[in-house]
Amino acid sequence: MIFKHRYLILLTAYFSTIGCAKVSDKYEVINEHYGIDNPVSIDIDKDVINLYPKDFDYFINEESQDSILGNGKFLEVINDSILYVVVQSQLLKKVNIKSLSIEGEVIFKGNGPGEYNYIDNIIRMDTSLFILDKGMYKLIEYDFDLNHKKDIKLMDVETINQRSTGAISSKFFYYPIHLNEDYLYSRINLNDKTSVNYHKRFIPIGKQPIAYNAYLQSINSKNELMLTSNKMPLFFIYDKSLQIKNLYKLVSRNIDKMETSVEDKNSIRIVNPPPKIIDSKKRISFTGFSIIDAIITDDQIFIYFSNRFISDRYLIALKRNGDSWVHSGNYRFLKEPNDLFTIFDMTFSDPWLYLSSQFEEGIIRIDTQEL
Amino acid sequence: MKKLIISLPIFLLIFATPINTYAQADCTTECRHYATGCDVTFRQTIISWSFTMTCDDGFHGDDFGSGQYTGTICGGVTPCSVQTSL
Repeated sequence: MIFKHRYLILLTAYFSTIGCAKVSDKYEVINEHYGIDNPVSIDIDKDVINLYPKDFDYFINEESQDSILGNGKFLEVINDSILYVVVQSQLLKKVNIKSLSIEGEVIFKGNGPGEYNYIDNIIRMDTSLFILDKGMYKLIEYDFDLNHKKDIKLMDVETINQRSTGAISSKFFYYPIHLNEDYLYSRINLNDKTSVNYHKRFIPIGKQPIAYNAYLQSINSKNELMLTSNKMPLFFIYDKSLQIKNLYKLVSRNIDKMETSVEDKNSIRIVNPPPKIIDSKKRISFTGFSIIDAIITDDQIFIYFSNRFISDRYLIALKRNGDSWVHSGNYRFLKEPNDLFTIFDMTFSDPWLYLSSQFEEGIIRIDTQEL
Repeated sequence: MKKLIISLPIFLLIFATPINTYAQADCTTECRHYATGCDVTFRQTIISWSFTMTCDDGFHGDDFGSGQYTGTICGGVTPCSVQTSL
C-alpha cells in the first residue's frame, strides 16, 4: 500500500512537471483552429503600479446619504453625462458628472417597441444609444435624450455566455450568435439588415465548456475589431472585411497560473486548464482566469483582469507599435492602501477611460495619455 | 485576505439546497447573495443554463450546465426556468 502511494506521488510529480513544461504551449490548439501561423506574444511581466484618487479623477457624491452616482452596471459617456444601468430595477440612469445632478431616470420594461425585459448591454454611437436585450432578440435605438428611435430585430442571439458582448461601428452591429454550427458571431448592417458571420466556433454546439466561446468585443474608429477571450489571455484583431489580422497572447509569470481543477460526481470546477472540449453533462464552473472588460482605441488597448486572487486584478495597457501592439503598463486602482476599487465595466471617451462597477458608489476617470 | 479566502468556495456556498423548479417562462433572474457580497445573474434557455457571478471584492466566475437547473440561488431564491414541453 505504501509503495502504491509512493508510486502515485511520483506519477503525479512527473505529470505536474510535464504539465508545467507545456504551459507555454497550452494555447497551441487555438492557433491551429484559427489557422494562425505566427501569433504575437506580448510580455506583460512588469510591476503593477498602484494608483490612488490623487492620481485620477474620482467622482463620488459624498454629501448625499442616497448615492446618486455609481452602483450601476455597464457604462457609457455622452459629453459630460454618464449613463449606466441599475440592474435590480432595470433603471437607465443619466448623471451629469460635473454637477453630479440626475439628468434622467427611465425604465422602459415591457414587450412593445422601445421596451426591454432585461438590459444585456448599453452601447453608444455618434448620435444614438443602443440597448441590447438578448432574451428579446433585439437591439433598441434611442437618441441621447432617451427618446425611442427604432427596434432592430436580431435573428439569433447567444444568451448563455453572458460575458459575450456586442460592438457597434458606424453602420454595423457585431453580436454573439448560438445556433450556427460554424461561427460564433454575426455582423448585421443596421441599414439594409444584411448580415455576415465570423469567428469560427471553437466548442461545438452541445459540448462543454462553452465559456471558451465567449469574447468581449470592441471596435475603434479604424474599424479594427478586437475579440478578447473571457477565459484565456488572448485577443484577436479583425480588419474591416472581417479577416483575422492577428492573434495576440498576453504572456506573464502570473497571469495564467496553472492550478488543479476539481471534478466530482456532479460537477467540474475549472481553474485554469488548456482549452479543450469536455464531453460531459456535468455542471462546469470557472473559478480561475477571467478578463471582464476590454477596449480598443485607435492607439491603445485596455484589458481588465479580474482573476482568482486579488493581487491578480488590474488593468493592462498596450500601445500601438507600427502594425503591432506592445505592453505599456499594469495599473491597480485603489481607494486607499489595501482597498481595491472593484471594476467590472469600462468605457472610453477620448481621451478618458472610465471605470466602474455595481459595487462602487464612485466612478473613476483617467487620462489615457498617462497610461 | 478574508475575501480572498471566501472567494474560493463561493460557488459551493451560493448554489445549494437542490429543489425542483416549476417551468414557467423564458427568463433571467438577478439577485444578490449578501453573505458573500456577490451578484448572480442566472439565465435559463431551452437546452442549458448559466450563472455569471460578480463579487464586491472583484472576483468573477461563471457556471454552466445543460438541461433545466434545479436548485436555488443567492441563498434561497428560486430562479425561473424555460418551459421545455407543453
